[in-house]
Amino acid sequence: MKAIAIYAPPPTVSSSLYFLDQDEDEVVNSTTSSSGSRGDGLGLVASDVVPCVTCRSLIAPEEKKGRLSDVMGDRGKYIHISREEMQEVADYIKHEGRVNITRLARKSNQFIEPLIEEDLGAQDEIPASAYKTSSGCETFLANVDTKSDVIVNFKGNSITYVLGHKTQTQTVCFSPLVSQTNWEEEDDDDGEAKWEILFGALSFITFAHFQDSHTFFLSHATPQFHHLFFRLMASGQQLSAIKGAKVLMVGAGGIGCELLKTLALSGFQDIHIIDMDTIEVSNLNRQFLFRQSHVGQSKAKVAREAVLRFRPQISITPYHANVKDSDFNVDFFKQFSVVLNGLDNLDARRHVNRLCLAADVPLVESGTTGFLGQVTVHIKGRTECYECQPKPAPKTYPVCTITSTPSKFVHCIVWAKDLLFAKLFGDKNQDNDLNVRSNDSASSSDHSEDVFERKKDEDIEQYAKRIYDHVFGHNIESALSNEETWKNRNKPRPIYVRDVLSDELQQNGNVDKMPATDNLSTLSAMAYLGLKNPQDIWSLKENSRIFFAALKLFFSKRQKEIGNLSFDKDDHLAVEFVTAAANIRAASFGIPLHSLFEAKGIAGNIVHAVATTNAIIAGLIVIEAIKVLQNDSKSCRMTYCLEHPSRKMLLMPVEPFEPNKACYVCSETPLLLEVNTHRAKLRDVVEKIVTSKLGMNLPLITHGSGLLYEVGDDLEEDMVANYAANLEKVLSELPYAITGGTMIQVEDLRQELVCNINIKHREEFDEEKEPDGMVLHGWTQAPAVENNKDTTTTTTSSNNGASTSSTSALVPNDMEEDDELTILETGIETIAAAGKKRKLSDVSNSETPVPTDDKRAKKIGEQVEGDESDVIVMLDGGNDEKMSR
Amino acid sequence: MNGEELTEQETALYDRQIRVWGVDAQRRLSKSHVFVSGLKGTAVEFCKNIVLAGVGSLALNDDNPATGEALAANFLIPFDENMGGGGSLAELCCDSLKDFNPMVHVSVEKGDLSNFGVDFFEKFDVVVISCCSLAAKKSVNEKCRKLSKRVAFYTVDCRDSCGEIFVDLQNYSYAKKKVDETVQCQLQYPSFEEAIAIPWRSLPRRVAKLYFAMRVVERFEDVERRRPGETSIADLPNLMKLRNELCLAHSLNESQIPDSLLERLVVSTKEFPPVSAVLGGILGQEVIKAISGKGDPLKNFFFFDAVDGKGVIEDISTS
Ligand SMILES: [Zn+2]
Repeated sequence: MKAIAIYAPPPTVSSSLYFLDQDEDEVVNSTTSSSGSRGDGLGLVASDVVPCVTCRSLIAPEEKKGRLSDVMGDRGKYIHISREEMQEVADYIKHEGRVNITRLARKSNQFIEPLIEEDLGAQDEIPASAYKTSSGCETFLANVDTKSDVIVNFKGNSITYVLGHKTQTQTVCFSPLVSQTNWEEEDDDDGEAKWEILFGALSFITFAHFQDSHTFFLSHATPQFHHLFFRLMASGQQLSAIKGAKVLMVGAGGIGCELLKTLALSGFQDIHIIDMDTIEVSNLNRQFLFRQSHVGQSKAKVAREAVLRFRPQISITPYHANVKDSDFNVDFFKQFSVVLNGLDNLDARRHVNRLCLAADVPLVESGTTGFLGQVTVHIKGRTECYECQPKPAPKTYPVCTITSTPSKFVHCIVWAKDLLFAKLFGDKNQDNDLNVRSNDSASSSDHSEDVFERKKDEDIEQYAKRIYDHVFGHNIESALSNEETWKNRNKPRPIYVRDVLSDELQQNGNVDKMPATDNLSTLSAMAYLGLKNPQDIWSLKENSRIFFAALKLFFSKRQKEIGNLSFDKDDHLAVEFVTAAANIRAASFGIPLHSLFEAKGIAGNIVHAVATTNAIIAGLIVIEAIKVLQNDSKSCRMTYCLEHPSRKMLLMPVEPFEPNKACYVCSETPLLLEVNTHRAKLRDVVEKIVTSKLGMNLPLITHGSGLLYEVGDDLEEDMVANYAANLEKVLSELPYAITGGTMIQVEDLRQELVCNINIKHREEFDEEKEPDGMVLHGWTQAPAVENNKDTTTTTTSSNNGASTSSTSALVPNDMEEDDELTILETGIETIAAAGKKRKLSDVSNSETPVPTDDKRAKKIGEQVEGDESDVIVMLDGGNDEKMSR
Repeated sequence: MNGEELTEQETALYDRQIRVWGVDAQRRLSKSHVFVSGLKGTAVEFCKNIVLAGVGSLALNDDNPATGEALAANFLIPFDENMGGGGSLAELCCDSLKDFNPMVHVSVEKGDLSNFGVDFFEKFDVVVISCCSLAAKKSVNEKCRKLSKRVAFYTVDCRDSCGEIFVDLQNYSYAKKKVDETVQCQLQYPSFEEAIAIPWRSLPRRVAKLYFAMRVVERFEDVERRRPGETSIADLPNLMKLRNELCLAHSLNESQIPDSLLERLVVSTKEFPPVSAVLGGILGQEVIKAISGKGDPLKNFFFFDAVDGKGVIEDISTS
């Protein structure tokens, strides 16, 4: 039997996989220093590597012929393989399509008759089967291409890979370490498809990925060479993975712009972008693909045009639409190799997470706030999904804190925005707690409702004064009458118009003096009063004047909108009104006043955003995306971008966590609902559980075979009526009665998410602690930042860029990428504190092992990487709880 | 107020970032002057960030023509101009950057970096150089140091998926916010030359291997009179020889500079765009910190390697 010219001496090194191996240097070192004789035949030691004279002399003749296509054994034996022989191997590979390496090696032995120099010992005739497997390389190859059934043993230190040699610059040096790496652009001048192939596996991979001409050598190789080889293969693999990928980006905002640019530069060819937003002026400081002239246009479309200007040859498909639209269903998601999120709200993130799970497409998720950011990777079955860990709940404030006992400026903002503004300008039919907490029963509820109605023919001036005196004066007085409340609190001071604006009321009242502008969007009380700087903190008097001016402008110039308005941070007049009202209230309660700029940030939940963090995060997203595309999920990391270094690190990679087995989204664990089945209506369950907690948009509820409830566009009328009737029934009286011990199924067809919920009947619920009147177990939600002792006002998290009209302020339920939903300072505090908190919780977890958390703790220990053997806990290992969720 | 308030236009445009670093910082930014030399992908990322942030002016220096490779990593230059174009990299980038933010004055400084005298740098508050020789790094750094005013000096380099940032703020004091109080902090930076002259064995343990590897490559290019990045795999043997010599001289274990790392640095000298984005972002933040005097500045090296994903700060100084 002719031996194929591959020699694999017993490995002297237990070389594991070098690529991406944290320990590489140590391993390499131990071999270089300990095996001085390792050069064997050539007397080479890794450290005095080359250009090796012996090798040169061996190659020289072939070089003269203008081609190299030969093999060198590990002992420096030179073996010639003819072009024809190579062609035969190549043809065989082409014919077979995919070849098992063992078979290929055996086959090659038929094709190739190596001219081996004399002196070959018996052991050189190594049967092909010797090359079968080795864990390290197997792993490597699995990473290179899992579709391949080739298994190679590179462990024998015996391959050198040399690429084209035709041009002079492409040095072919016959050393353990040398090669030419210009993979992409190597043209074949001959115009002849050369298939010079020696070693089956190499040729196979090369053939499959590069379709390029190369000459291969087997040589005395060192571990370093393995590394080189792996890297070459990896970089080639990387290129083809990138080029072949079809990528979906959700969000073309701050992160999105950076991401699209970096994807295009990195060689991605097929990118789809979904974004429902249009461009605003305040985007321009970081969303660099947009210009002033684009304001008002679709972000997705403008971003595409901007990137095509420097990369016209790639394909970018924009969708100016909401990612929750039914067009973007599971089938839509299935066409992508990876989904990259640069979103700005929890709701959309959860939706995309579920679709990615349903479509089994990996998701790279991201977020930034100020200088902080993070990138996480979610691969179904391998890493936790976006919802495996609890997300901090939207922050809510006790109603009475807002209505009666504010202690922070944010409480005043919430009052001004969600109660006062909504009462005066919003939907009159909505519940509003503006007066309910008043202790003075006579003035509260029914009677005082009228106060906010402008009477027929009532002068605006009079009306405004009446409102002012009522909310800042009278209401405070009533509150004061409840002595109990103020035992341990500073008493507020009632403020009446006459105290503040006694001198100027008469002259200031005339609406006719109001600016005659047609452009309602530029209406400004500040401009009217000659106040310019939004950074200034106005006095109580100035705030009062703004209050009057803004209120009057609303009633005189924008009366058509009254009754339909909800607060919008981009509505300048609304911001002015809310700032003024909040400040007057703050003055009343001895809380420091704030500038319009600050108030706007709080009221609009504006996230602080800078270009640099977005750029960094986008870079990290692409790095992770490439790993995902190469099926190298083992190398994937969650990365945190920190403001202050931790263990010297500003960018901190952390190994991803495994899926949470109790996650109701990515596992099938049933939830448990404790509810009074004789009292709770189906509507309560739908609203308080299915919509708000499980985040379903189009729920379908079944009990056994019976359909109880469904939402959709294409329902029959009688079904709609039927469902509407069901909503009002208590659970135990439904057509398919829900009682203790039964199980219902809740499903969102669009998200392809199914949850089973076991029902447990319970008679009583604590009104304060369990305000929903029901409790859902198995659904994880982090504790809200503030403890709510009173009945809380709650918030829907269904905000997708729209302003919130609910009775509370949202605080980071997430690291927001963009404008909405988050109050920054809180965000930063939360994150800064997260590390410590996590550390503590890790400690406690190790004492009371909870299955999942225990695993986390272990993981955290494991990820102390390689040579960095300091005693460290990845103190930010669990940051995700605070940072990303 | 004193007439130095931000304009309404500025307030609207910079709204989101003012919420991060405040009006004061924004005001200081808008009065600062930045110089950047060597416009490859990483420097271009930095330029974008700093123009968006709203510095007063940005001067660009790179007379090289826009070749295919330069364009590959450059999102500032529209494709149409690829072929015919003419114009230096600096000129082409200048046009695009102006467009990013009309409030920033962007200009071109022609000429060879090494020919600029001390006076030249007086105009600037920040000098950033990229992809230039060891000699140029030292000399520009020294020139900045000769000036009576403090000119913040930075280098940034990206090779393959590795990157390095060097920072010299000379004597730098800043307000550091502690829990309740604000303390004045003082930092003493060495020059580039001083920093790299520090004997390796006297550096703290576990200094990023990339630090040593970059020094070897830098030295190699210097000795061989190569232009930055002008290396190939064929240089690896000599590079390793140099590595061994340096390690011997510094009594450092060669394992601190793995072959594999050297090989990566020497083989693929192209900048990996995601790494450029990361480096450009970090550098942008640092420059913003230095100008605004807000936040802990980086002292004095930063390393990023996409392979392990760590972004590490190393203090290579004697103080
Ligand atoms: Zn999950």
